[in-house]
Amino acid sequence: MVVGADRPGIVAGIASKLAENNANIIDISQTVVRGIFAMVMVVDISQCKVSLAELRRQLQEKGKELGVEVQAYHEEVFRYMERV
Amino acid sequence: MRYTAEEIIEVHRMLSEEQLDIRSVTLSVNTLFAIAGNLEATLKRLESLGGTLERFVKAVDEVSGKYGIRIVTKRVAVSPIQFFLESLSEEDGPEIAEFLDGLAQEYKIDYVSGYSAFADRGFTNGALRVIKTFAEALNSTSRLTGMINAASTVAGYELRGDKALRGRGLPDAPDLLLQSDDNGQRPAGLPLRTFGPPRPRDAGGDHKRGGERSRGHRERDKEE
Repeated sequence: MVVGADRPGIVAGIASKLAENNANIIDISQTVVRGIFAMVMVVDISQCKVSLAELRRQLQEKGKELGVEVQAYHEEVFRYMERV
Repeated sequence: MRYTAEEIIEVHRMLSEEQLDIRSVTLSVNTLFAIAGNLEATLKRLESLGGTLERFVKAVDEVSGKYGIRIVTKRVAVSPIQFFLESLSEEDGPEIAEFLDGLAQEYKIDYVSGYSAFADRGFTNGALRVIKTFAEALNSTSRLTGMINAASTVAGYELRGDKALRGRGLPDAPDLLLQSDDNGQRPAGLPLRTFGPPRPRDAGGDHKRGGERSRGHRERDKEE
């Protein structure tokens, strides 16, 4: 998920970084949390060239360039916390 | 989407704003393979723990990295030192303590537990030696923890275990009294426990009889 001020190029920047690593975007949604722009992406990393930890590091680096905060969690985290 | 944006943001908020994390992962290692008649041989055998600790740290970091969730402490529980001190002298206790503390520091383990004795049915020599050296061992280390079990459902309350510790100037909350060293490091802690399960110290650090032979045991076999 990406949190920060909305501006052009955020989706493109994050998406190109994902494509570089062969990670496939399954879904994108945008919402506003407490007045701050939040973009949530669901990404398939089964064919990803790097580990999730490394992908997260790269995305966060990209996020810094774009002026947004990026966080990446494994899907299982949501499964265990949001599903019974 | 399998999860709504609200759900994902809710989890993110718990992890980033509300400090939800995994407090600790504990590895319990049977170290009885290292029991030897003298201190030097004991420490040498304990050295083989290094490989295990290295793999443990790597595994915990990998899990933390994969899920993006902070794991705050890594802990290792070894077999109670009481068993080592049955055939060693009292002075060897703090030596083993410092050795384990050194291993923990080297491999970046936050706590190593096991300076422990079971004194619910009277004292063996080993238990007595642990009690006598408890303050010294914990005061000269920063990551070592231990416990004295002074009662059990079967044996009742062994008041002497309690008294023996109190006689050594350890209060009910020993963290408050045990000395800090010059660096301000404090000993990791001691509980006087009653009706405890057979654990060296940490939750999850059960010392069970039986079970699969540890890597240390197998390495001993190769040496012989």
